[in-house]
Amino acid sequence: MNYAQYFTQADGWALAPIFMVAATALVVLIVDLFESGHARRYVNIGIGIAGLIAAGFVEAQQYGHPYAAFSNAYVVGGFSVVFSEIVLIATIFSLLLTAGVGRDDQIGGSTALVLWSAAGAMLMTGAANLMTIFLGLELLSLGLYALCGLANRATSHEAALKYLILSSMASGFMLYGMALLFGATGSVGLAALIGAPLSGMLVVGVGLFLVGIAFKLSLFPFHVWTPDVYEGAPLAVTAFMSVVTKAGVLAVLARFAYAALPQHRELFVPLWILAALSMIFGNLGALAQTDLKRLLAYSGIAQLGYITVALAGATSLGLRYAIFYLTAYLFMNLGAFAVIALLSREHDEGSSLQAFGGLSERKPWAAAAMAFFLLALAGLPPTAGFTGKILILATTVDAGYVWLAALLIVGTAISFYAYIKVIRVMYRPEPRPRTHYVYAHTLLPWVGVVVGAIAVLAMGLYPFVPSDVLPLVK
Amino acid sequence: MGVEGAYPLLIALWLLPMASAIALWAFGPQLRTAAGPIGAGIVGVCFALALFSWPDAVQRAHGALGAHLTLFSWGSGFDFGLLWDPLSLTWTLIITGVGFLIITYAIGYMEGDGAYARFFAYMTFFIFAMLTLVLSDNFVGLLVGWGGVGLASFFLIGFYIDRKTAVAAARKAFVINVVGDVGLMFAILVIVTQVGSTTYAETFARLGQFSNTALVLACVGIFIGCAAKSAQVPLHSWLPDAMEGPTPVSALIHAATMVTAGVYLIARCWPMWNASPDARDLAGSIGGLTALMGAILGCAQWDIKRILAYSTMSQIGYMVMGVGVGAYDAGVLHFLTHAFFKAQLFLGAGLVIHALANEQDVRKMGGLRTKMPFAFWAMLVGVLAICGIPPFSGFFSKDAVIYGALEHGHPYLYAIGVLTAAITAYYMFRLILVTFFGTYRGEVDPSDLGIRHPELAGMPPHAAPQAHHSHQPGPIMNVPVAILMIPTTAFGWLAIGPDSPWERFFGQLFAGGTHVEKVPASIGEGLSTLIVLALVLVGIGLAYLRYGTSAAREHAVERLRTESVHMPPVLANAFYFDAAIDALFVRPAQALGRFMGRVVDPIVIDGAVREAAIVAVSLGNRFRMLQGGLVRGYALTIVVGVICVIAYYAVMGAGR
Amino acid sequence: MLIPALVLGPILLGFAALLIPRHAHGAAKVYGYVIALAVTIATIASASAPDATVRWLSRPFEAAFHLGWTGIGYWLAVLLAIVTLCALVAVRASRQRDFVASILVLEGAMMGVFAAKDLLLFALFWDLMLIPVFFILVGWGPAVATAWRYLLYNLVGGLTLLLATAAFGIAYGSTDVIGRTGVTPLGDVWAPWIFAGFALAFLVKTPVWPLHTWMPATYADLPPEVAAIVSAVQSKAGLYGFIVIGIPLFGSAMHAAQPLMFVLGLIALLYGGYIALVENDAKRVVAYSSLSHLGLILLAVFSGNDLALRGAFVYLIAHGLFSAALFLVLGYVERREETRLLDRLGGLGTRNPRLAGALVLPALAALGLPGLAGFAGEILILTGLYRAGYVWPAVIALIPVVLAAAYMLRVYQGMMHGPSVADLPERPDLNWVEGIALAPLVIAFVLLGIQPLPVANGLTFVAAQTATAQGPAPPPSPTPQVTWVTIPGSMGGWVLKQVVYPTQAPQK
Repeated sequence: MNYAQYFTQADGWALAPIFMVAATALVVLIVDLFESGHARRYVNIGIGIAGLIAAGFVEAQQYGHPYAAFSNAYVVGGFSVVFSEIVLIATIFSLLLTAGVGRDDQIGGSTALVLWSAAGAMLMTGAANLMTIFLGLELLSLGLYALCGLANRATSHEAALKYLILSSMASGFMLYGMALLFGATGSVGLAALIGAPLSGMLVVGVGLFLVGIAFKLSLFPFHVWTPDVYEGAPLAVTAFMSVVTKAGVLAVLARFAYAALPQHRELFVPLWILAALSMIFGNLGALAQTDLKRLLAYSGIAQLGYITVALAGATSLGLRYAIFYLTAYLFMNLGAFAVIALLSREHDEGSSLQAFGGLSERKPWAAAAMAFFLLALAGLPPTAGFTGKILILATTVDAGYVWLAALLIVGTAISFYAYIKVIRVMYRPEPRPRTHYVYAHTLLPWVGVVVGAIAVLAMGLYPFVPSDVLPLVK
Repeated sequence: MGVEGAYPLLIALWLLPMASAIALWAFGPQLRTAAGPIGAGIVGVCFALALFSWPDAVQRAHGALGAHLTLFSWGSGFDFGLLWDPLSLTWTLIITGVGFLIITYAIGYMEGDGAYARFFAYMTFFIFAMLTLVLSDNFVGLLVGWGGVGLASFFLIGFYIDRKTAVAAARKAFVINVVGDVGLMFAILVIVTQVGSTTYAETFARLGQFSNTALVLACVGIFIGCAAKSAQVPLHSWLPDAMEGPTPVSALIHAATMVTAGVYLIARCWPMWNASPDARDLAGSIGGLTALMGAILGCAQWDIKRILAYSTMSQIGYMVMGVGVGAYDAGVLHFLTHAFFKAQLFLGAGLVIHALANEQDVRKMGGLRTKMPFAFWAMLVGVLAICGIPPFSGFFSKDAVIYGALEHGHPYLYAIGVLTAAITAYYMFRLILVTFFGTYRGEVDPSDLGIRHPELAGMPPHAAPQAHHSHQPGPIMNVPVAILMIPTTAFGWLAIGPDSPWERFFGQLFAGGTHVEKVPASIGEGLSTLIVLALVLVGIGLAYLRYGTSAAREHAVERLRTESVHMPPVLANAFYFDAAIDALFVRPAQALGRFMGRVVDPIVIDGAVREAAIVAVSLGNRFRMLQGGLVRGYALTIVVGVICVIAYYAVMGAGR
Repeated sequence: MLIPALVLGPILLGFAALLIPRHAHGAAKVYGYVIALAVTIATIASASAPDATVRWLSRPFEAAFHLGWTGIGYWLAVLLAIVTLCALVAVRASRQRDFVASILVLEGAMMGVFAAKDLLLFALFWDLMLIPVFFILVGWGPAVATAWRYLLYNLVGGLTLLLATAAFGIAYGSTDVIGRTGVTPLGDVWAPWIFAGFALAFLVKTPVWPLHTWMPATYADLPPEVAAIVSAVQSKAGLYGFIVIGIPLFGSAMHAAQPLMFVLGLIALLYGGYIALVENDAKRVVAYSSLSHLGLILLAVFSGNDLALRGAFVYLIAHGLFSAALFLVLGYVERREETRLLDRLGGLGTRNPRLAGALVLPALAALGLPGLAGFAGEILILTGLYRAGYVWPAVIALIPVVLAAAYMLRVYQGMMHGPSVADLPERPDLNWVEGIALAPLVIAFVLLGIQPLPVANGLTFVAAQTATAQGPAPPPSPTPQVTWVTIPGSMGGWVLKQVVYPTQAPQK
């Protein structure tokens, strides 16, 4: 039997970036054997980032050349390229953060796991049939289970366990949904859904599938795992999860909503409702937090709500602005994480709100950067957050979901309090200035901070969105 | 700035005082004693300029509203310019002339005061504002001067800024005057809306465009302004308090010029008054009422300046009555004579006060005729004039006003006028007799004289350093008084006869347009004059019986005590006007403010907002509690969520 | 490119100020007012500067970085520049470098608000100008709670502004509409809601009763220099928005909202006035007085009458000038006596006559003394209201004039007059720097009071939109006979214009 027809050279090229990322992980592991001491930290991270950049370069070549590999299992082209690039950039950021956190001898392993998870996310961005989707999702998650438990403190292990249990539970729902979809259409390909009759089985399948999506996007009420896991996981891992996972899952959702079931908007109404609830409750939850990672977890819930709302109209503009805001979120959020990394040391992540007291006097530039990122998350001008919000508002109003726009405004209003509370803490003159440890490994996080700040400002002033982003299933 | 023709004199006359005011205010400390002469000199120059321009304007004024100078415009009907006609000239001459004398007098009076220079700065600023008022050719410009003189009087009443009473009096005067300004503003709104312009010429030319109500509204608004500025009932209560200011201020601002601005305005707007009988009735009756009330209250005062203040109020009542009923030239004539004799009275009183170390209570005076004969003669001339004894000036003007009331068909006002004349004679001679006759009572214990609050009477020593020693005033103060005696005595002669210079000069001004129809008076002018004189003599007689007889002079102390102790409270409290205003306007406003500021703002409005914030935060906390940290709890939440979601799809799918 | 420089210059140079060594107070101050002076000159000179436009968004609606002057915007920018200059001359604060920096950033942001000709850009600067004030409140104010209240109130307004802007962009297709003539008005389905979004933001910012409660605390807690800027200029942004966005783009909605706005405006007028009568904190008195004054402008803006609108322009600028001067002087007093409670103060006038003089002039302008700028604005607005037929609003609006006299004199006399209070520290009189800081403001409101025409003509394109409710035009006059007589005489003689007018009886 001739397998060549199932694996052509073109298919290979389509997967090349993913292979490169995965291979980089192997290289890191091997090199890690021969290195020791403090240097290995930088060597590993260096190799990882190099691999990611290379992968990104190759990935970019695919832009504008749509191709359905493996008989429509994996579709490359504009859409998946954009999301993959987002995944890669986010991964680079989180690697920059690992410079600060964790033990030297763990860096190798963690880097490799991060890269493999990234590979999984990239697989999701192009996945055009249920199997590929699940494959990518699990590849992504497996790495994360391990990563969450990496830090040797109780909360970390607890986080890993919780994530494992709840995530697999959600995967269960999702898998069941997929089974129903398969049963309804007789095919695992998303293409089969186009024009498929809305049988009860199909409808319920969609429902269960979306539950899985909502869990991974940590939309209310499926967000419950998020704060604990984000708090417990090592800083870099939290940063990674907060963007990469979302990017991959959003890609799947977009493909599902835009390409597979474009004509059945009513099927997605619950998702929009969940998004609206997330905008409100995410910000409400952020009000009461005293730990930066938890606060960013809740803000992430709300921010993902905004992004999902952008898709509500299922208009092409909506997708473009969702991508824009996702990118903006990447830089705002990871920039904030990078600042936290600046204040962290090996066993103490400086994410507690007290650690920020009077920061403006100890580290004025770090404080300024943090303030900038938080204001951006709050959506104040002239930042990407402001522009992104107004674009989402516009497209949502345009799509006729005025109530969603109004709720977005309400959510934002609440969020001001949460974000600016932190700024106030930083700029409050400290009664007794705490002796602040000077930490060696701040160079790489600084790179993250600077790049993030520039990107947020630039995107705020000129919102560039790639034109060819419509997902395909065939 | 479009200027028609060259008009340097007017501009100079108008702006010089302002310039000197700024200079004196800025460089006062450096100028020291030079400030006084400078201020007086400037005003003197203005007087000269006014005199110099007198004949021309008089010749050219016939039948015309007068020479006119356009300054600038705000557009939409707000045009500004200067107006140069007999009316404005008359006032200008009084303001600068009498002003010059009084300010010269002040050089001596204010000598050694801590804020010597600033006093003259304020005085010259007042002259400027008053000139703006009378020279302006439109209502808005007039209002500017109107507010300016109010401001000047605010500064000068409160000149001794460390005296609580003075400060309070100043604020009261200003606020009441602002009420008047508001009335005037309202009139301006009406006029601009009806006419589309604020200039007198346009307004009077287009009276036809006024609906009747609009005309009445405008007149009422204007009259509110007049009432506040000219101390007409019920807005009069600030004038007696205004005597807190230095005596020259009382003489210039609160007797001779500013308080007559209302008379000027009504005379200026005579076409409107002509056109509106209602306005005439209003102004006439308020004027008569004020005249009577001022006279009555004048009988109940002990402070020499307050007596004069109430007499001023009463005399202005006469003027307003005159111009109100339509006897414009009579009213204006009375303004002129009053300016002279009232200034003289105040300056004479100033001589006494100055000499007695700022003692103002007549009960502590007495027998001053021998001590200071000059002051006595000055006061006496003034008193004879104000009582309307021929041949003194007051006789002619007052007689004209009183008879004018009858002529224009207001018999009741005529009666009031006659009665008031009698009362005036009574309290003025009371003043003379108590102050200058009998024996000096300065050393008598105040309580024996029935003085309840001696500490409130007179000026605190530090206010005027020269107060420590009693001394005769120098020529710088005597000469102006002496000069004033001439017009006080003789000015009225200009108005004798049907074709008097006064008639020739002024009659024409009010000749244009429809005149207020006169009714045939029931009694002739001569007879009415006799009646008035008779009653005046009666008043003088009463005063003599009470205070002048030898018996009265011997037991002066006891009589004065009994009189002050048994003074009817209604008179002592000036008909309770202050209490009424306080209870009706001041306290309610403050209560309202307190209620809004301490209840509505913090509790009602903020309360609502705070609630919202609290709810948000507490929701956040609840939401956080929901985050128990137990996996099974989370799982449960998720399952519930799933059930809800699936329910939707199940229902939806069931439909298929 | 001059106008963008005016906007970006202060912001960038403000951040650049952070490079000055932390303790070089003198240097920071000089740096500050050199820049402010340059900005002032440039602003005044930029009257006819061309617009600057850079394409920004093309989808989902057209938007552009479009900076330029609308007539009244220009005057407000001039006001902003002058007030900022005066504030920086008068400035005295701890951590002066950061203080000056924040003020410069604030100036730039507000410059942007008045220069923005694109709704989206307007919204951007609108939110931006809140942040420096917030930081100043946190860094230099006594109570952080005030900062919160300020920020949350105004940010909520900013959000509705944002939503409204987005909705407008979608509905109209472009947000580059400020100052543009011939914008087809939106349909009645959209317009009211979008206008409501704008209006809420503007009402909070002005502020208008009952959304005002952030204002007294903010003005009281801000350092006097910044209080001057905020009360003089930032509070005008809302009314400016009504004028350049509300009137041209939402004429019908404005008309529909008129009754409500009249009620709010009148309540604000009286409410502010009455509270000012009894407040004990001088700064709060001024705060409530501006609540009252701005209420009058709100009436004018919604009266739809051209004359009233011109009066509103005058009053906007006038109020800016005298309230800035008031806050500066109150700052001087507080700086000397360490209190601004009227019942603690008293009798300063005997010791510091120049200080008293410095306080009395703006106080008089504020109480609308005829001849000063405040009066010019008032009389024009009231005339406009009356002419447009709103008799009762005009009459009610006359009451606060009396109240203003009462409370302004209360402040002035409470501080300067009366027996001098024993336990107040003896302080030197007004020094020349403080005097110079006030001079431009005082000169400005005196001149404006004499001739408000340039400002009154400030806005040309709105005048076209306010055709409604002009009231009866004054009928033509029977031209009086004018004869010219030349009199030979002193100093070149006179030319007398004799106006003989026919008097008529009033129609019965």
